[in-house]
Amino acid sequence: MSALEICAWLENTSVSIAFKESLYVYPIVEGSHLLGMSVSVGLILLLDLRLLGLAFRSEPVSRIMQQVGPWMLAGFSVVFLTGIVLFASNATSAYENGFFWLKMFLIAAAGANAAYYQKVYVPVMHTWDDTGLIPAGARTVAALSVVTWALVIALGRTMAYEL
Amino acid sequence: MFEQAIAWCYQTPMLSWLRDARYGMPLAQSFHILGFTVLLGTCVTWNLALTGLGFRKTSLDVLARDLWPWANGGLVLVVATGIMVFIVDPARYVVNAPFQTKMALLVLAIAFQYTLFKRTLFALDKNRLTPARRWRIAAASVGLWFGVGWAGRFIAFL
Repeated sequence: MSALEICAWLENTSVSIAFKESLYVYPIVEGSHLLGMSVSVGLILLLDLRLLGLAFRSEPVSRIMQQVGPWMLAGFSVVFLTGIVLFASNATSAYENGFFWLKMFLIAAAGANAAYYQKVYVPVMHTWDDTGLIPAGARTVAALSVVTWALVIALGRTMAYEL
Repeated sequence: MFEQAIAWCYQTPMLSWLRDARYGMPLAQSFHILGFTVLLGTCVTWNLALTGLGFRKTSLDVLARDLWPWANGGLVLVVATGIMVFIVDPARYVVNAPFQTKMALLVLAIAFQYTLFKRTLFALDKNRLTPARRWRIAAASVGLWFGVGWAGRFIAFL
């Protein structure tokens, strides 16, 4: 089976069809996707603001990251689960939608950016607390995070015009 | 008067340009959602702190002082881009029930944010608030802003 055939199959399962045709369930899932995104990305942006020195300068980075973490992950699980359901019910048109693939690529890039921070900077974060100086590399990660997530939001909004 | 105002929105060249530009509306809505995301990030943070569910290690004073300008900025961006989206096609929105609900919730959310909620966040005697009162204020804040977002998402469907 080709990828497009798998998409067609996904889209035509009885669950997908019932979901797509429902008056309220579909918008509720769309709304949960939007609000889950706003919670998770909103919290990431606050952490980025801290790294960039634009908020919470009086707080250690590690303390902000630790407090943001669980709620950001909770938001992400909502976005991820609703995103899978939304993809399944629009699989073929999403597959043929350039904005969708660009969005997926940028989510992967944002993930790689976060993983890089986790590997390189999380082990040394506590050493920043005394001086309050954050290395340029960590600030670059934060700036990239802001730009990438803003683009993910823009692509998510734009792709829906072509579904 | 009202009908004239609506008719004007469809006759003004600048608005027609915005309406017909290929990426005019997607771009305005992208900034709309970005502004909302900043707003919701601050809302969730404050209310987690207020109820004690999260952000226990940072004082509410610091959270209020450092995030207040960002919440204001998010709101300005949301309202400005929202007006852009509305004004190019007002006839579609004024009759739309989710839009009407969204506007009612938005007025309440803004009124609440800049009165009771702001006083609570910045209150020096915040420790005298009972837990029940903290939970009620947090529920109102989260309920109103999530309600605005949810109603907004319904505009395209109903």
